[in-house]
Amino acid sequence: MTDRTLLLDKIGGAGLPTPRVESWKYTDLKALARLNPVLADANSGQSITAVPTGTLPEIEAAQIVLTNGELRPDLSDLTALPEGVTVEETDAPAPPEFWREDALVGLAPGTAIAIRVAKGVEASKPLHVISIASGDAMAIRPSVTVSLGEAARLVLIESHIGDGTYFTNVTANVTLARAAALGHYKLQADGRSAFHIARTALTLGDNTEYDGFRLSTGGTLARDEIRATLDGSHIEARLNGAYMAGDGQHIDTTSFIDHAKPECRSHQVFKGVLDAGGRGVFQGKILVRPDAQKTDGYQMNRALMLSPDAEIDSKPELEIYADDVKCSHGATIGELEENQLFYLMARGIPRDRARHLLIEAYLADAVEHVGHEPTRAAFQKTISAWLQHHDGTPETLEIRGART
Amino acid sequence: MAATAETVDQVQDNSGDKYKYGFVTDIEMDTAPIGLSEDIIRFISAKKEEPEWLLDWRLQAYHRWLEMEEPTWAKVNYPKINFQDIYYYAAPSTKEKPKSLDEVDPELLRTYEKLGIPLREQEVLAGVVAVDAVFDSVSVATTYKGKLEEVGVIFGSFSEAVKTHPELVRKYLGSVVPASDNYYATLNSAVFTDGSFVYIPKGVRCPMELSTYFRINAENTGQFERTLIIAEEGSYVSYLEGCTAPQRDENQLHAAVVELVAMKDAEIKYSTVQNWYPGDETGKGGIYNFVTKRGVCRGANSKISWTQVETGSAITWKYPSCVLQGDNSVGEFYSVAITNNAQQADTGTKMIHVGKNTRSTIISKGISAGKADNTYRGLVKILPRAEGARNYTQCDSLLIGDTCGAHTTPYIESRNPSARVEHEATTSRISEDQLFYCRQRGLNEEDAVGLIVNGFCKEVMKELPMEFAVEAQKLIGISLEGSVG
Repeated sequence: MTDRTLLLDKIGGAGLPTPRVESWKYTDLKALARLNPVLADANSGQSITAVPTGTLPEIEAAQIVLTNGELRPDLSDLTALPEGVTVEETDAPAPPEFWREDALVGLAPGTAIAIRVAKGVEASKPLHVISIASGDAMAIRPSVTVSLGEAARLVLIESHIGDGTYFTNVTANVTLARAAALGHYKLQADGRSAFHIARTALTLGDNTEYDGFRLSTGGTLARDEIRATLDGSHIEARLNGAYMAGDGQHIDTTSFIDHAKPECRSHQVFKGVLDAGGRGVFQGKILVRPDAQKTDGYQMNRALMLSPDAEIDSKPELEIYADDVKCSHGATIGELEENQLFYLMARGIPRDRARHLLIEAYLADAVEHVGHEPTRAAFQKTISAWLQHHDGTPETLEIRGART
Repeated sequence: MAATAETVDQVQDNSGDKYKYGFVTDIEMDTAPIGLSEDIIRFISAKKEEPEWLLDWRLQAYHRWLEMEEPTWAKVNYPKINFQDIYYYAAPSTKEKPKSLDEVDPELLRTYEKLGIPLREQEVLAGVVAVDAVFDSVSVATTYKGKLEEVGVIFGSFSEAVKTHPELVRKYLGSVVPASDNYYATLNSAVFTDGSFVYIPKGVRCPMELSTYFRINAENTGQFERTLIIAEEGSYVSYLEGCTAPQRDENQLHAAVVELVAMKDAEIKYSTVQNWYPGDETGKGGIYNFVTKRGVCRGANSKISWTQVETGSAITWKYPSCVLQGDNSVGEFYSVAITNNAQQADTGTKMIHVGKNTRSTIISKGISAGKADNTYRGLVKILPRAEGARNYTQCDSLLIGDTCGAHTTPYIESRNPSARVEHEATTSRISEDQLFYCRQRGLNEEDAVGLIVNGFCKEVMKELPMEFAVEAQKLIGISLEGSVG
């Protein structure tokens, strides 16, 4: 133990954002403040000696492993990196203007794992970034920057797992140069006692294609915030996701799509499943600036309530300053249709199985947009496992070597 | 449809004079000294010969207000209001209260005639609307009182109700919008001057539409009216509200509070055509319309329906809301908000579902032109006990031109799994195809826009009582004048 800096001391000043701040209206960080974790030591992750299996998407991919926020070349499989793709530790980029005020952004470490795909390179294999955490009352800060050169293509998978009462403050900066295409799929399956707060900034250039999907099932309190700046024309951005919360979990998804230039398309579908004691938050905003004529923006948030003590708070927003646009959003909240259950049960399917089928079908709407086939299958598996788990089959995550 | 044709006529008629209600009535006024203090509140209360409890209530609100901060969360921009630069009381001076219309200052009667509001009962052809006319801080006349009294309906000015039915006022005042509710409602609680009071007894279907016509006339005056409507078990009332103000270069503040109480099986239909002076093309002048309106469905199977057509005001900040307490109660909100030139509107509703099987419908149509900003902001909240609650929300925005803004900010919160909530919002503009189609049939561009916009708003307009629908359709045409070409 060399340096024991507490989270609140490191943040200083005004402290953590409170629900008085509009964008944190529904997510209260009091519990995190109470935990007031210690910033993880440089080598705290060394006790993790292997990548756990079972909860990660099983996809053939090159692997970058971070333990407690630090790069672990020994666990990573950098030799399998697709050609033209480089990974190195660099100075972390300055936080984007729109997050300067946010105290948690200031928490980002000085270095970041930088993934670069050279101009014109089409990575044949996906790249899987795995962040593993283990420890109690500890704050870790994984930070990744991804930049794709002109016309480059990559499939990037991001997984977060761990055990303990840790806090993971994730920063990701993604930049796509002209005509680049990125498939970006994130699994947030952090430990049930963990705090996961992630900020992803996307900067998309002309003619780029972004295919995003994020699945959040972990943490006691999780917030996944995405800010996409469509800083070019003819961009196609798909940002879909699903969140599943039960057992006193609080899962917040906050997205902001900034249409800054004309003729772009953004498409968002987020689906939530809220079980006993689970609370879901969805805040989505589409901003269409005066120049962004011919914008096509769509956003949908649907929430399925499975239990009387579940809660959903949804705030879809449109802010539009251009007239020749097609923008719409929708939000629905409801429970499983009793007559659909009846239909399946009348055909001999047991009630639990029927419920699973219906929930899976409901989530399929968001998952099926995942452009990369093996990843889609992996996510579907994760969803099935979650549903199983919620019917009594406990899921255990063993992080080998982490605790003795 | 005839009304559409009238819209077209109206647009042509008014090509030179856009805000036809912009005149000033030259009449001798009684005003309180400028500014706000405890003394001013005592002055207002004394002027109204109010009982002690009401004065105390006002003073409590005032002290509370002094500690409050002006809210800044709405998407509207305006220079800070100097609350000491406003007259809080202005009334046409009279030696004694007029006993009948014949004693009312003829200048006042002419004003209402000019506004198209007949106060002489025999002049009303159909004779179906009773009117309470509020001029600055006081109610000047109420028509058809006798006829209403026959069925037990109490309709008149608020100040009068304080004297004649103090027990009712005391029981319900602040029961829906508490004195400390929000900055402007609290200010209103301290300084409110007049407004309408309506009481519909058990089982009575009010035989005519009730209407209040608000007129701001005096310069630098704030209008702070207070309206209270109580519908007892099984009763029904339809209430209309209209407003205009002279054309002035200074901004004027209008901070009203409206409280509705619907008991078991009762229904209140509240319609507003808000046409306060919107300011000129550059945004100079106009009314700041900061209003708190809320209704509570106290009993089972009760219903409150808000319909609003908002075309005036430099700034509109209002969220007519329903608290659905009674089981099976129903809340409705139908709104058309039009902003042109430099107008700003941040308006919407709140539907709070408390009781079982409560239902709410929200239909909001926002139209933005010129350099205006138009925001829908709404809350649908389903509480844990609201088994089987249902909400449907539809917000459509129409943009005319590329320098205006249209925004949608709904908050949807559900804590009951059996509740169903649906929200849909779209943003579009008048398509070239639609315009071309109309132009081809000989309509000029402005008329074509009027026609298309009226079509866009139809779902809301059909909720308005007949008398208002025609008026509102005309207003839409006028409000959008100069927004194309």
